[in-house]
Amino acid sequence: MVDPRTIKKRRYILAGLFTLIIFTIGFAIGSEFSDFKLQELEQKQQDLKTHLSTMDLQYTIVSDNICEYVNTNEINQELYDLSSRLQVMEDELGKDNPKVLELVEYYEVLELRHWNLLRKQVQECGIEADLALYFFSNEKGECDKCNEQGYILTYLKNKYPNFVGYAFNIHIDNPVLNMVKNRYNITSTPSLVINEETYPKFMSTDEIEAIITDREVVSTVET
Amino acid sequence: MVGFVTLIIWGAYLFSLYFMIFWLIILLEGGLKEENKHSSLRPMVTILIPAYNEETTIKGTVQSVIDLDYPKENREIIIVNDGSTDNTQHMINAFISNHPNENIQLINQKNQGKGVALNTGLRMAKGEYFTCLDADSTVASDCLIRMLPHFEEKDVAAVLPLMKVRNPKTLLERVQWVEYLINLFYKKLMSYINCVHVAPGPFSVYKTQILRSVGGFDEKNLTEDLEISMRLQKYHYKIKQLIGPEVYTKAPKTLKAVYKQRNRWYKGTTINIWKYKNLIFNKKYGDFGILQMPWVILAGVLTVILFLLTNYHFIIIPIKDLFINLKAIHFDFFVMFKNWEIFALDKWLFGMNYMNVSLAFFGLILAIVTIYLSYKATREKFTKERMFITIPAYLLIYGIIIAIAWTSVVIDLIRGNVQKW
Repeated sequence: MVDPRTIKKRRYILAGLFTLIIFTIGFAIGSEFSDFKLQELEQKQQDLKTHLSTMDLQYTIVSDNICEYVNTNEINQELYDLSSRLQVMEDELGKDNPKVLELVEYYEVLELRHWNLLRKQVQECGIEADLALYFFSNEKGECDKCNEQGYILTYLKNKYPNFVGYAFNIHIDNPVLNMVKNRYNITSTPSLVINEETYPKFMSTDEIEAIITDREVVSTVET
Repeated sequence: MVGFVTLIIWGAYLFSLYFMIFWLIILLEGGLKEENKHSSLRPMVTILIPAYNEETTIKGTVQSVIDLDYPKENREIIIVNDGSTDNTQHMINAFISNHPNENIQLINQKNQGKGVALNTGLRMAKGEYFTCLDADSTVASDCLIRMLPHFEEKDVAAVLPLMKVRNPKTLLERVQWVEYLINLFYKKLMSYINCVHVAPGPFSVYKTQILRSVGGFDEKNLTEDLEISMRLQKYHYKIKQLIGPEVYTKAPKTLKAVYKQRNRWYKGTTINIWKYKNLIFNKKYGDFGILQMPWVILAGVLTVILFLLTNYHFIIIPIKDLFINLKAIHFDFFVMFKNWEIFALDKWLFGMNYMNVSLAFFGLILAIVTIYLSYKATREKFTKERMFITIPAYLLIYGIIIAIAWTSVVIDLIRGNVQKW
């Protein structure tokens, strides 16, 4: 008769322990880097805030000659950089992560400040730029066309140097964002506000192009 | 929040890591050690060669058996010609005529598959030990003499040699050659705790009496070598893997042939795991029941799930989205690509998920250590070509081939499509 088999539990426990250790190390490294990235983002946002405040102040001091002193081009690129980094954090930590939501809210307020400055320049300095506010939703099943709409806007931003788009998550609850939503009567996604006109629907490339190429293009604002 | 796909990937990673570490613990316990046993006894051995349309290889195979360093009076060679339609029978007859002093018998039967050929040989066998050599394999001359002394250990029903791919030339053959070495490394470790679940066709030596007592080979089984091993495990016999004695086998040369072979292997694995499902998580079967049986099937299931999920989420969906998006901009690629920041290192570094990167890094280190140990255990050298071409190709290609084969097995089984041998 053959011998009965035995199991050495020690091996199983030891393997489990080492697996857990490696996984924990990986997790710790990952979360350390995530924190580091969040800090970097916060710092970048802080820098942008300072930049915008400086411009605000410049604007107030030289209110009689703002068109000569205030240049928003540089900030445009900074905003764009921030948005791509925020996207990374959303993917990594999740769109519902409180820290991410906080950064997104802050970013969107910065976007509005930039939009407001540029809007004034368009009105007061004769700069010809097309400004678009784009409202989207990340909620599952709520906005099937948002991904496509975002892509179209990026495309147009690349194609037309004086087309500037700002994206806003419709669910971010912030007084100034809510005010803008109310002012332009934004209730659904995707919705666009192009040059102060509200379009509460998905807009194709051709439709948007028809609006922005309708005017004379002067490349004074580079994105 | 962690997504469902990420959870599945982490789960698969955890399981794989656990098993890799488990086997490394066995390695540290001395799982690779192999005693060079000697014996002056030369018991009778029956060597069976089943052949089906093997006119190009049969001569080399029989010659390698003739060349075995073993007294010819203590060995009998039975060649079962399983209804070959080519010149195999003629080749064998010519060989027998040229070797009148050798104990070679030729049995011609109509084509009934390898299982029947094996049992035909087993019924006729006069040897105390029984072994089979596939007609596409050859054996090193010292193989038998080094294997038989290992039967002295109690309850050993089968002893397996180190199987290598013969003269791998193309990249595909070389990738399989790496795979065999790694498999052998693991099988040696499995053997240490009696967890070997498959005794491959080429020159696995069995105790004839045990083989007969458990009922011989399952003639209708798709992978009769795997089935007999599981049956021996069921009866608590030991299957011992060696890394000293070597046999050489032919690897499939084309992707289609590899796919066909793997499809049969994995289908056979699934069917036999089901057949012996009462061994799974059964403490009575020791590590084999608790660890090996669940892992064999889990590895297949995880491979299929991972393959489908990752392809869907990381290839199909993004391509579909990209197509929709590009269509929306009338496929004006250049405008999108002109602002591509592919060389923006800071953004690239920022975009990385460092948890996944570090876990992948640990996994890669463990894989490289395993490959290195496999080479060392099987006495192979780390040449530049192997380091920079074969091994990276193995790491990149092998998983995809295995995943496709496993997925096709699941699809076939769902559709009830089970082929014969």
